[in-house]
Amino acid sequence: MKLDAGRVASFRENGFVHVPGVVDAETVAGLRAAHDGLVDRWAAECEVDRATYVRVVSQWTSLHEQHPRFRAQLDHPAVGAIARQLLGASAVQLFHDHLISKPPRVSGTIPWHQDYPFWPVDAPRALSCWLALDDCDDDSGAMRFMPGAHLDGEQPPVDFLRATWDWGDRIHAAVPTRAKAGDCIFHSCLSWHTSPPNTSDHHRRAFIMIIMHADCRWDPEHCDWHPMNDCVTVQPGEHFNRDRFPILGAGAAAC
Amino acid sequence: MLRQLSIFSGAEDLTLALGLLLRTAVGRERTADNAMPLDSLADHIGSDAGYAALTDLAARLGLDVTLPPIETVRGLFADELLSGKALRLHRGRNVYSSGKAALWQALWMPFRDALTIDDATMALTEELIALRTDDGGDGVEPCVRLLEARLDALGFTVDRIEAAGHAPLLRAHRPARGVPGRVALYAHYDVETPDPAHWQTDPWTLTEVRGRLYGVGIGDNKAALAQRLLLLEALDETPELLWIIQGEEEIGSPLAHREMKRALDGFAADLWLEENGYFDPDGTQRTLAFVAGDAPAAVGGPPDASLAACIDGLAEEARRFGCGSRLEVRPLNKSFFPQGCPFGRAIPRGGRYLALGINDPASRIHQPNESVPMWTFPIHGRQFTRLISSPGIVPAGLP
Repeated sequence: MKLDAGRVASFRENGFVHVPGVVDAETVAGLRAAHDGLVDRWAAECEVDRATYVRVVSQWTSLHEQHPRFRAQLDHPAVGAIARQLLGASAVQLFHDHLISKPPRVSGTIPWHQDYPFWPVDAPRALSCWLALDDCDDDSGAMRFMPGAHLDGEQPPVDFLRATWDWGDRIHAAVPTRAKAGDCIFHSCLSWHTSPPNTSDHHRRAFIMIIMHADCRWDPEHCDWHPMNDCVTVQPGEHFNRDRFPILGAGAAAC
Repeated sequence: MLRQLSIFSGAEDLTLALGLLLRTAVGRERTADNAMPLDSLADHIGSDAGYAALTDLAARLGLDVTLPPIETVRGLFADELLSGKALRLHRGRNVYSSGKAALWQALWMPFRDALTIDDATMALTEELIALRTDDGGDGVEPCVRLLEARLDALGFTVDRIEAAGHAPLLRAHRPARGVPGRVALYAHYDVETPDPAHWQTDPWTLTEVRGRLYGVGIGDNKAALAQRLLLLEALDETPELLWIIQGEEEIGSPLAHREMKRALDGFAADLWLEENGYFDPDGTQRTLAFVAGDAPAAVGGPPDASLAACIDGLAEEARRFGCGSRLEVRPLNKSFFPQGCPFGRAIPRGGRYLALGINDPASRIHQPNESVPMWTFPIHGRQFTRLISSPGIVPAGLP
């Protein structure tokens, strides 16, 4: 699967592109079931009931190391192909994956931010593939993007607890990205995005793969801290170790 | 940071703040940063006794605080502990510190302004630290102008005593405003020249690290100077005040030694208030006080009844913060200057000397990485306010 020229141009111009139906319903159902099973196990590990667990814990990193269905998702041919196309890379590499759940009625707003300032990566040659595991609309926390804001470059990291970013009149240009389960939203690591609380009665889960150009290198000085630093076994300035940061899809052989 | 929670230091911020809150509430010893592990905080603050101690603290400090019910407090701690456990076990977490934010809002915010330096003092201290007032520094004249303007706005008559090749000495006088007595205050605005290579932060930039503020001259004595200037802004009634502020203490006070007698001009102070003072490592206030003897800067004896009563009143303020007090009959140590402190040497026989302030033994005066703890500011603030504004607190009449 490849994107047509119009979608590629839209990604470059706006910083994001919504691609419907990238992942089939059966695969999405399998990922949801895998996550459900993991949540049961994790709640038991933490010695709390499931309801308490999902109310408090809502983000998990590196699921591909925890369940084969998420590991298999890294090899999804369309995801790797589109990422290579959008990044202009012959090979792409996983920085990390994570699953973010906005449970019904108990989530908050994630303020406007860029992702890249939080990453120990030497250059903004990366994107996120945001795979909807549930249908999401304005009530359930659909992400909103500010078209073209990525072209302004990297800004200091936003403190989510003291966010004061103000778009002024430009806020009217913000675009909500309502998605069906199985849709993917590819967005630049410099894109500006936000998400409102989930006020609906159903979950809003998304499996997010952060994919970088395979030529990116580890730069721990680029951010204060990142959980993936614990997985790095190379020196600063070197390419990421591929055992924990795998090359994705068919492009691996070319790297 | 104690003033604001940040996702960049969220775990540290919360345990520093709630550690200080609990230690203050129950009178537990202070430590270098006052941090306590979250599970320990949950056990203590979530207990009936710990929760009651927070209510008592609010009453002691005169705060109108409405705490969440104890069941809610226990639930907030349980949620945050669960988030931390999930992170350790399987890289799960509560997105973007929301659990920490809930605890911060519920428990720390009602007490924050009463237990740490306030924003205005922080801002003025930052401004003073940034002015390069070391010997020959280009910040001397701007600093003097800043002090003159602020003192003038407070109603002081300010005389600038100058001499070629010397940093100016300021003599600021204000008549009594409804409170009997006369108080002589001392301060200095100069600092030693720092060697940035030996500092972990920029010495000319106020920097907060784990509940302490760093910057050259912050403990000696720009922060106390800033705080006292701002405290006076809030006081309508004070005794007669004479404030001597010099700019050459760190090079031996040559101008002040020469001009102090003229600057004091026979001012018969009931109390001679030193620039700063100290707390012990465990949080006990180390009050320095004496009645002067014959020789310059000589200790004549322990506080007389009047000064002792004054010190008792100040100790009462420290107790509100869970801090004890102890008295040492001696001046602030300035033995590194051959002639001593010109202010101390000017105290006449029978003069009452008192030193209180914001420093602790980790302040590293005259060393790289000079700092002050943030929790001492409100104690010093209440004590200085009580001392300066309450009739009968300043010892009356010369002994």
